Amino acid sequence: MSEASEGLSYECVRCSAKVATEELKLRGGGIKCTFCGYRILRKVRPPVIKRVSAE
Amino acid sequence: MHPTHWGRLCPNETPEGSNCGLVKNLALSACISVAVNVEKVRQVLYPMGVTPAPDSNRELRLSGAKIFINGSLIGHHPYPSELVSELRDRRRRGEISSEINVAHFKTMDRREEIYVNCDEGRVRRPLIIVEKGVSMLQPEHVEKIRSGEWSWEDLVKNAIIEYIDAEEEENIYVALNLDAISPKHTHVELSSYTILGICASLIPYPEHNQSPRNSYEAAMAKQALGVYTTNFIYRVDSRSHVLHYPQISIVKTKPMEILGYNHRPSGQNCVVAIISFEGYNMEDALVFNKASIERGLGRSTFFRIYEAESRQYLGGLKDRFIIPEAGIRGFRGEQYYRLLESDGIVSLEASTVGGDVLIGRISPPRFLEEYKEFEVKGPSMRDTSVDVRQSEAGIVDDIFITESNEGNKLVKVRVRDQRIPELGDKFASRHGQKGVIGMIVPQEDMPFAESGIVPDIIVNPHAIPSRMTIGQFLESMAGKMAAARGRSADGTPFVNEKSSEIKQTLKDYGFSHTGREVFYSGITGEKFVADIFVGIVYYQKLHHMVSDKVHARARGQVQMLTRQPTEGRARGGGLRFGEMERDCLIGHGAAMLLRDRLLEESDKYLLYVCENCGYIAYFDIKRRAYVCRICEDDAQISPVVISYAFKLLLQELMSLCVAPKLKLTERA
Repeated sequence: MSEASEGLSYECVRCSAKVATEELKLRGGGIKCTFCGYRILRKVRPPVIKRVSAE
Repeated sequence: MHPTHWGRLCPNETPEGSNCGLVKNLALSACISVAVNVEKVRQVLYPMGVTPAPDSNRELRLSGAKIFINGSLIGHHPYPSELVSELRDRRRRGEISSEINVAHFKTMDRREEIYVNCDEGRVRRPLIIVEKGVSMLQPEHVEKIRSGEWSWEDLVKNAIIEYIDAEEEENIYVALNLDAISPKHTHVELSSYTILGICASLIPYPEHNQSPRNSYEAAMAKQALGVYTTNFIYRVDSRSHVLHYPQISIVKTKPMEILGYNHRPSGQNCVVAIISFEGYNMEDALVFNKASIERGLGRSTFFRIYEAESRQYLGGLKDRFIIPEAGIRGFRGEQYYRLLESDGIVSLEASTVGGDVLIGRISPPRFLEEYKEFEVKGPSMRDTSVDVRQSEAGIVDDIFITESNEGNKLVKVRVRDQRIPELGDKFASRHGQKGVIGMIVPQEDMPFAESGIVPDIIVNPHAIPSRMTIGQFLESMAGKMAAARGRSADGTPFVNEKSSEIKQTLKDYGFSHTGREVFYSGITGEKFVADIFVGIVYYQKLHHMVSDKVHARARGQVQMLTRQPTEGRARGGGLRFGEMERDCLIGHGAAMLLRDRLLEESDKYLLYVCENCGYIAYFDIKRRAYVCRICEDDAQISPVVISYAFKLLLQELMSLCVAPKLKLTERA
């Protein structure tokens, strides 16, 4: 998965494409998916292993 | 209530308290009329023999009937009964609009009046037309509806059903059901249970309950948790609750299916036993089975949205989403920002507690004059981060980043918190029997039947006699019967499965017709002397949960104006020690405690007063002493202990040009 240098990327809600934060700044700073132009992005879950206790 | 409410307004669904009777709810079959052009109605009436009002001669005016449209007199007619029946026939045939209703009134002195209404806002209800003692709705029509060939509109078009408003209802005679039709009847009810509104239609066996209990349930059904919509994962509602394992109630009502309640149920079927248990279910408390809760009974999740927008201000300054640095004004402490990622927003699935920052944001100062004279660098930013509410905790569920209407970056964070039922959470059956969990008992301590059945919920028998909610008992037995035979029970008001059938079916499946079973104590193992009433009842989890309410304060924030503790849990407030509580302490003679409550723990203030003139003295910085402006040298300043609210009162009076003077005496 090619990501930006700082490893932070968002995901487009409509087309599920990954958009890196660096690129967003490059394109004028507006929140926009680079592929489909949708203006709502979602944060991507970090690949951390989480322990969930069964209650 | 008024007889016209029948079929138009729900008799039970109204709020308790100040809005009682003022806020009403429509009944299921009621519909509101839509306006019809008055001119068209006039053009229909004049050819039918109505003489316009200015043209009627004296004789017609005295002997004929007055004709009104929407309350305005338009003319007279010599034969009113024929006019009325002709109008109604035309409406049934579809020649005039079905929105028109005609009422014929004969007053005592034989002056007849006909009211034709075609305005908007009338509450009308559908009724089956009865001609010469025979209902117009025949089996072949029912077949056509079942097969889908005919719809509701076809029934109205074919003069089987017509809509009657409150005025026309005065002229008709409605039979309650098809068996009660006699030659005198003009209409027959569609179904009697449609007199209820939406919430009251969810109650099984409501005709066996005391009426106010149905009203309470109608209010509580709106507080029950369920799955409010299936796309809750994509929604950003500021607060929402989702029940983990909703179940369709095993004792249903016919309107439930129509309303779609079975697609989004808001409760669970529970095995409910009626016993006093160890004193933990007194005063409407409930005892819950620990193992049932561990298997998911009553579990729900609470979602909350936190949002932040990076606004732009005059002068090009704008907010920024960033992890604030230590030098910034309003910096909270490094630990509060530990969950933020490089973009200033918390990462997904991070576990947060109250006070943790979710969105790090810095803003320029509100007013440019805010920065002090000796600062060279320019406006210093201050921390305006969004943090988790003080008393809450949760896991970050989802984060949405988008643009607001003005083009500013907008971040919305949804935090979820799993709510497992604990002591203090509120539950209710569908009969106004609300209660709070008083105790969670391990399954091994629960009373058990020979078959091994153990109750999920134990209700105290004292909750029943004064409330007279027999519907709960019937639901319990019907639920047990439905579980045994594998088919849900029908608890629709007036057309439900009768108690005799329930009893018979219970006997067929080996249960007692009383609904009681032999139980053994889980703690001692002894058989209970009395058989215990047990069955299946649909219980709803209400959104009053103890973790949203528990609150404590020892010392904390005070208000600026009154210097008294703040109000409200969200602001870390104190609980008001009000006038009536003050009266109680006075009654006990506990004067020192009262002084503690009202002064030491609230807004105690030392006020310097000039004894000479009685006004407030002020502190002169240069002379380092309290002086009275009015009596410069004659002043005798003494301190008095008062509440800050009293000093505020003095100053408010002064602002009204009233001069409050304080007369001081030496403490004895």
